[in-house]
Amino acid sequence: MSAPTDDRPSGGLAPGVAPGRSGGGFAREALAAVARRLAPVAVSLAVILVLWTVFLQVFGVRALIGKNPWDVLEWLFLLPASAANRAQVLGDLGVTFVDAGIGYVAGLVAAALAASVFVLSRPLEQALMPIATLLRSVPLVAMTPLIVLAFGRGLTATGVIGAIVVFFPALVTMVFGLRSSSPWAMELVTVYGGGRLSRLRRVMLPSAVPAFFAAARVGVPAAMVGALMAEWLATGRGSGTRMITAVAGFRYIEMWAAVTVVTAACVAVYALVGIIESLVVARMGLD
Amino acid sequence: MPSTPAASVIGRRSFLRWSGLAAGAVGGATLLAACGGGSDAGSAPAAPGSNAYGREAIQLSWIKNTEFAGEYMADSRGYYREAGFEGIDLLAGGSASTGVEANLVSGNCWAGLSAPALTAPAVLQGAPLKIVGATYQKNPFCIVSGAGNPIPEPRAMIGKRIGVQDSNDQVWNGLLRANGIDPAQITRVPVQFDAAPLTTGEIDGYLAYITNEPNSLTRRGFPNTTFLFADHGLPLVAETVTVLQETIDNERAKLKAFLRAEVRGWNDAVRDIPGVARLTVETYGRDLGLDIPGQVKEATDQNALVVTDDTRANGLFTMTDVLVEENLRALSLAGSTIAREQLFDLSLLTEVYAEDPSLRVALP
Repeated sequence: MSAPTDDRPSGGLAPGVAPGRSGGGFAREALAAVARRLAPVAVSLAVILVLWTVFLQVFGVRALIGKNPWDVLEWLFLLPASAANRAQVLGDLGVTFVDAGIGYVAGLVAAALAASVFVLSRPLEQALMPIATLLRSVPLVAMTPLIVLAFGRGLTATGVIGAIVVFFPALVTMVFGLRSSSPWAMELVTVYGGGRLSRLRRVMLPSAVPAFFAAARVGVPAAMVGALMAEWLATGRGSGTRMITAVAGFRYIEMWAAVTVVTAACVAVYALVGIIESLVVARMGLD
Repeated sequence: MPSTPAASVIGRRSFLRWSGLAAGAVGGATLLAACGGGSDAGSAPAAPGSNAYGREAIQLSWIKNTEFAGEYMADSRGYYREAGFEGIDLLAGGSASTGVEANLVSGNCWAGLSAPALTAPAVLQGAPLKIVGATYQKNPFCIVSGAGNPIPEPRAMIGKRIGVQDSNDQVWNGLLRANGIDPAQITRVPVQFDAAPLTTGEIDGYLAYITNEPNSLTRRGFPNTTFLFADHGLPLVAETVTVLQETIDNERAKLKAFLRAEVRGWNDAVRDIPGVARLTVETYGRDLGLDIPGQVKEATDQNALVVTDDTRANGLFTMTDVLVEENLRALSLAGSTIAREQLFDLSLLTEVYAEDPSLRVALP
């Protein structure tokens, strides 16, 4: 993932199908993009499985507590109770997906809006950026009780917690993306009488698309972690709560299964965002 | 303190793309990392003060308040050393710490103070653990509610919002089952170990230790009502001395020496409430900001759980057959059907008292 650089002045000015590229070429490119994104997913999953197994071995975690990938596979698929186990894990995951999704979307939208405002007005950025930094440097565990007091224990609180986690890294990435648009293209718009808003719309936003997607990818695991924490401290539902109550009841297999499924879901969504990114970037001729 | 998991996700995106997700999965597991703990042979009795039994760690079930008064006495008055230990490290527990059962199985502690509702599920999962004695004859779990909106018995919780800590999931579900209450009839609110949501009206009831939160709420000017789990179908013991089966098998004399020191410490503790409060506030719980009057009240209430007609007759930590049976029935209600010999081994304590009748002192 590379940010657009100055030697590609055409990128921002003419979003759309790049010249000389046929529809069939795009389809082929799209398939290639999917393949390019799926390969790292397979590698990620393999790395996770190896690290997981090696970790348990190296640190000598007792089998009663440290369950290996095979134990989880067995619990999910090979026991008489596996159907019920899967229903439990997937039910929890569904709740966590909703919790994470709200924070994810809210965080990215807020970051995009804030980044746009910041590049339009430097004084505003200088005034508000420290607040954004502050928001992220207070440990979320410490902030959650306050959020619960203000927003209750429903989806609003979950959304706020998730959004805070997603917002700051997304904001920094997006401001960087918006600022790295071609100065020549900006000047061109100015010469033709365009103001700050046109420069934002015609040059900065299109050329920041790769940065937006970078933020969107980084936001996936962030939103997931935010949701797990919100579930643990605020709502008492979903995978986040399951992991804790499973440990309290010495049902470590339930904890490992929940962690496995959440991690797998995270990797999958991360890859999905990457695929969408490749398609959009290819379509816009930015790559 | 729990760390912020969110911190782990901020990284360079190129790094995240390849390894961040994998690292996240393993990161959770490091919390459970075990360090091996060695223990000496302890099959033969040690000479007093010989340090033959080395240093051992005891995992407490909670922060260092008066709940461990007997351990403070045994430590500060040298009873552990006289028993042959070089020293005993009292490891504070609390909401964010790893449970006694997991720490025992991982070799991070030699013995722990836990509760049957936590130990029984672990044993049923295959953890080779045994309860060898019980400090509290009656568990202190209660539901505390505001005097203006009282919840005097379990069925009064129906339709209300009750704050329950995730780590008390087992006893909570046991209480509901024992009283035939459908969990769907109650709004369970996740709380930590601070009863403040009760005072703000966010919840109507709060799962507490009778010795602890109800007293502090009263002192803060929040009159309250309580009912004990022990009076409503869950007559479980608590602060149970829990060890690995292999400790009983291989270090019987050492474990008996430890139990003897425990009994001596608690014999002192129940008879010296001002001393207990001072030791807790000024030494062991120094960092907790506790106050003497509060700990005096807590230690007084605690005595009612520790000193009963049975322990007056048989000695502290002992459990009568009737009490054991009651506990097994309550555990079954809580979802852990377990046999007596799978969970309890009270033979060591019987031997300790038989070998030294002077341990049976006149209790208040």
